[in-house]
Amino acid sequence: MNTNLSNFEKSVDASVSPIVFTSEYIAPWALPKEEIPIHLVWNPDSKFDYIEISIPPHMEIKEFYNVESFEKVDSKMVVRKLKSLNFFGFVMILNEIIKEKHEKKEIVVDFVLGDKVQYSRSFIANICRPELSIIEKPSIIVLRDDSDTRDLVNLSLKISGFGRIEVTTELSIGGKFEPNVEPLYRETARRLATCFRSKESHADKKKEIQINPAYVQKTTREFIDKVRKGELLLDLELEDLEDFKAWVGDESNYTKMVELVSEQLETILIDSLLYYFDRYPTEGVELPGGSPDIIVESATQDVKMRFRYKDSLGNEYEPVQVDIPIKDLRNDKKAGLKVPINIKWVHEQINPLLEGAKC
Amino acid sequence: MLSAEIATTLAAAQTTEILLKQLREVSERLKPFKPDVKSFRINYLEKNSEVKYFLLIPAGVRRMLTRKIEIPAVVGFRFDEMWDLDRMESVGFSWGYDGNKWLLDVSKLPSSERYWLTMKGKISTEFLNQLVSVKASENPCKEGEIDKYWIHSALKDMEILQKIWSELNIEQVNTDVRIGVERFFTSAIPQGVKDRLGLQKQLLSAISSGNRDLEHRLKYRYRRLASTPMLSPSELYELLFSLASGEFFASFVKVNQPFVLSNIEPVRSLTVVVPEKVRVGVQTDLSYKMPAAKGDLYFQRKQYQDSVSSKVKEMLPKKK
Repeated sequence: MNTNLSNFEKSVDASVSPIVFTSEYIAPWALPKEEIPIHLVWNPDSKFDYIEISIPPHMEIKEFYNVESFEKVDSKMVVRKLKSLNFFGFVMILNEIIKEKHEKKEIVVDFVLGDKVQYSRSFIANICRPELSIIEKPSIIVLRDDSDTRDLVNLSLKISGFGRIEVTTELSIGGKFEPNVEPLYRETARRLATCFRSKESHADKKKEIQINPAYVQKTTREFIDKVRKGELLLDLELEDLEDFKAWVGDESNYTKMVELVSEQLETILIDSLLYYFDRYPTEGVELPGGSPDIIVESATQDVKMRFRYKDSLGNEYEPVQVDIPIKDLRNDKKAGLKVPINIKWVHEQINPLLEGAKC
Repeated sequence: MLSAEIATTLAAAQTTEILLKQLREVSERLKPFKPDVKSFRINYLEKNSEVKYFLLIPAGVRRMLTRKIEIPAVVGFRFDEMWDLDRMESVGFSWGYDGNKWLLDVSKLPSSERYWLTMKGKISTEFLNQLVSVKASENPCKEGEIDKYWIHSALKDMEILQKIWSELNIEQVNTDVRIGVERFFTSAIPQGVKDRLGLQKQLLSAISSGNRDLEHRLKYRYRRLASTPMLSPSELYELLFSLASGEFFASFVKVNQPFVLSNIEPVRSLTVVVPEKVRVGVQTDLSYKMPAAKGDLYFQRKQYQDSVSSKVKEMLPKKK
């Protein structure tokens, strides 16, 4: 390949027979920071000295396919030598969060012979992001003794742009948002670890609710195996964790363990299912903390709600904040009150393919 | 060049060297029978390589001179199959293994001259990662009732392949596409079922806390609800898992050429109670002639959602 790089504007040369491409590709859409593969395959007898890639601002090449040597010249990447003749590719990412819901970035690949561009191919990277916004919120929350708290706070949130989001709710007064339920085995371990010293059994008290005994047995066995293999309990913060581990490891406690797991399992399973239903309120949205509630303790302040959200790659976007004043007309203003926040989700997702992308 | 890239290049070179050395040693051991490599394949999914030798073992002097062939196990390749090309049948007894090496007693072979020998070797994940790139879109693009995911795979270093074998194939290059199913389940379960679960939760909590008054009130409410269709928590759990199983899910996904579908299974992990995603494996072959593959996976979202809803309904009336 020619190592003499020309910095002046190159003209497209029509005198040499054109390069015939048998396959070309750019991933048709991507989130910010998502890897975008691009490739070109051509006839092996095509002639060129080097390949020049024009890289838009804030984009970078993460990886090359079939490239032996390359160098960066200003904002361009020059591929000097390929490992084999007729194929070349690279992976790009946009290294920043975009402001618009959809931004197009142009990547130009020139095949250069002497000072002439033999072939110029423009690829468009369609970068899309999700966006959360408030459409509707109450102007004030009025608390009365006969208020139906279930219908007090109604919000409308819009998800636009592209892609799934995970929303975490934060409140500046009261309520602390923790996931309602731990995943099955971990929660089983946590509960058992807190009651394993107890002599009392509630097994005889819970005949009201049916749970498949075969299922209980199977899950109990799986749980005990996992604890014994050390696959669980690693991050439990318990004072007597070491004692609990020793207790699980002791064969003579096996029967007691089966009994305890069976007792707890049904509660945990119900909790887990309810949590699961609560966690995915609408398509493309995950609420790890479940539906939020406001715990009103002192009603002299405004409620400040902040919705932080991330896309599925973990990119975090500017949060959405809602401030609502509270007017407390109750007789006993000191009584704590749990007010659920009802969220209506409105979808307005874009299709990057209809926005001009090719695939 | 960045240091990470240097390290990767060096690692690739070293691994390639090891593989080449192993292949050279196998060829050296087979030398008396004029080994000719007829194909070399790497299976990405099974993480192994397969090399086929054509061997010429005529009865007579050559067999007398070399009665035994030994291939030490440390070479990294193991015997897979010996095929008699004159009779077109497999030679069952031919190779033995004594714990340290593979052995062929040439004198026990049939009188045929021409044979295929297939050897298999392990390939590390690191080596495959240096050789092949696989990518799939993180989020789908929605086209009406269908969700579309892009998929792409490419050879990263064709030189390695050329060194080994000019027409090398890499088979079953696997890409995983993860399809979120959580919301379909959430919306398919009727509110009445969720309400009853909520009541069960309160009841269990009242029982364990010893609040008799609350327990009696909740039991009364629970019995009143007992006539509504219901699934037990464990039935619900089993149902949701079956709806995310490969068996049920497979009819709702398709891919276009050159990709084909492979394993489909719910994403299982210790921390997941109910499946939230289904992993759909997509495969293609790459070769010197086709160094990159592009395609799409289509998930029939609406059809799947409707089927999930009707499966839940089918289950419900049985529990009146």
